[in-house]
Amino acid sequence: MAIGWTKTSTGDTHLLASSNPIQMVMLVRSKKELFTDFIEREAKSRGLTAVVNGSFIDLSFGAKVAVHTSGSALDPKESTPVGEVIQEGKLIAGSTSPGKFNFSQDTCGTQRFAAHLGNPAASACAAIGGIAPIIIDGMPYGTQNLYRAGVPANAPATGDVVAPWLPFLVQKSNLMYTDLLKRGTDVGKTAVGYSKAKSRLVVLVQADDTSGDDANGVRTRLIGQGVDNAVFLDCSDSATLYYDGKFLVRPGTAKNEYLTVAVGFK
Amino acid sequence: MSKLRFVVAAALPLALVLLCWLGMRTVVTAGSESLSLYGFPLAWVAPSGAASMAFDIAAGPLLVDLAVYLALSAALVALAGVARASASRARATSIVLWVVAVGSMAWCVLPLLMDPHVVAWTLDGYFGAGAARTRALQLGPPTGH
Repeated sequence: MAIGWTKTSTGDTHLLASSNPIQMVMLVRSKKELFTDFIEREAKSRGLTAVVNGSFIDLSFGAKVAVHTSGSALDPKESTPVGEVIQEGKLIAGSTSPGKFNFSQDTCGTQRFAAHLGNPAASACAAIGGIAPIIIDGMPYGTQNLYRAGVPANAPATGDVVAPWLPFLVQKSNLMYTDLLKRGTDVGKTAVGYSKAKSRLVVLVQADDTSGDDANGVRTRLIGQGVDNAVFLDCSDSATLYYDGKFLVRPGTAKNEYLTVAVGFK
Repeated sequence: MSKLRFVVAAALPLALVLLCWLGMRTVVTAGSESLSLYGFPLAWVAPSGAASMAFDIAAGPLLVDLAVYLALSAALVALAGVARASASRARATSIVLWVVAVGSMAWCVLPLLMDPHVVAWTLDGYFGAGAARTRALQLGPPTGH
């Protein structure tokens, strides 16, 4: 086991946690190589303990056909990351996605991570945007807006919540979260979270097509870890986990050819 | 040409081509969230926020749309007089239509099969009845995220 990390595995679901100072590093594939080869090489050269898959990827139609027919790694120029990827205050990949969420380490060298709505801060030490919320500043996300007793009439069941209902909100709805929940318990999942109270970073990865929790179960598990900020990264057969020198979860064959962005921790 | 043969030879491939290239995009919006749905008259495919290149596919609406396109195509082919054409001309037309149909299906369906999730009917259950819906002509296959 890597020093400073704890790993708990249930079947093909792995939960890593560390309260030691962790540095988050954004990795962007720039060569025509498989995603797993890229991760392994970067992890070794940068001394990363854990690496997971990161951004959602969009492909042109030609690239989609190429993935089906070529059987080899796609040129990273053909893969477009959704959401901004920032490393040491520089935008290194992706594009704006203001309606989605981000996860960031705003200051290098501090064991402090955060998740927010919108694009990450341009000055962040390391950040990934374009992702789905699980818990944001203690507010759990789900398929519907839920309110505590006494909420005024006509509170929206989904979508934006404003006054006078906002003070009563106890769970916020989110479409991306709902899309993942619909996929059930067996779909692959990659989540990262942070507990302010425990100064603990938590990484959860479930291999695709294996028995595990659904999105609500993952949320419950993270809350049980004291996590108050957490996001889902690219899920399904994009789920990838490299830990302590080996892959515990590998992406699907097609995803391995075109995924581009990974999140490393050291 | 028998009715069944007429449908298989010309109407079905034309329906597949039309299903691929001519449809409707419905954008459902509630506040800051929105979802694009594709299909006519019913939406049968939508990009999913679960993963890269993931799509939700509604089987029921797909079958309904296919039936509508098939009926429309049969009418178009009948109007064009394919059924009354000479055997050699009808065969040549059928071959061309099937070649275009197979190519179109490969172009349109392969991307949807990268990470599909099939549901029975509803794609936009997340949004309430009060959500705004705008519709526009869609030329070409559904797009991703």
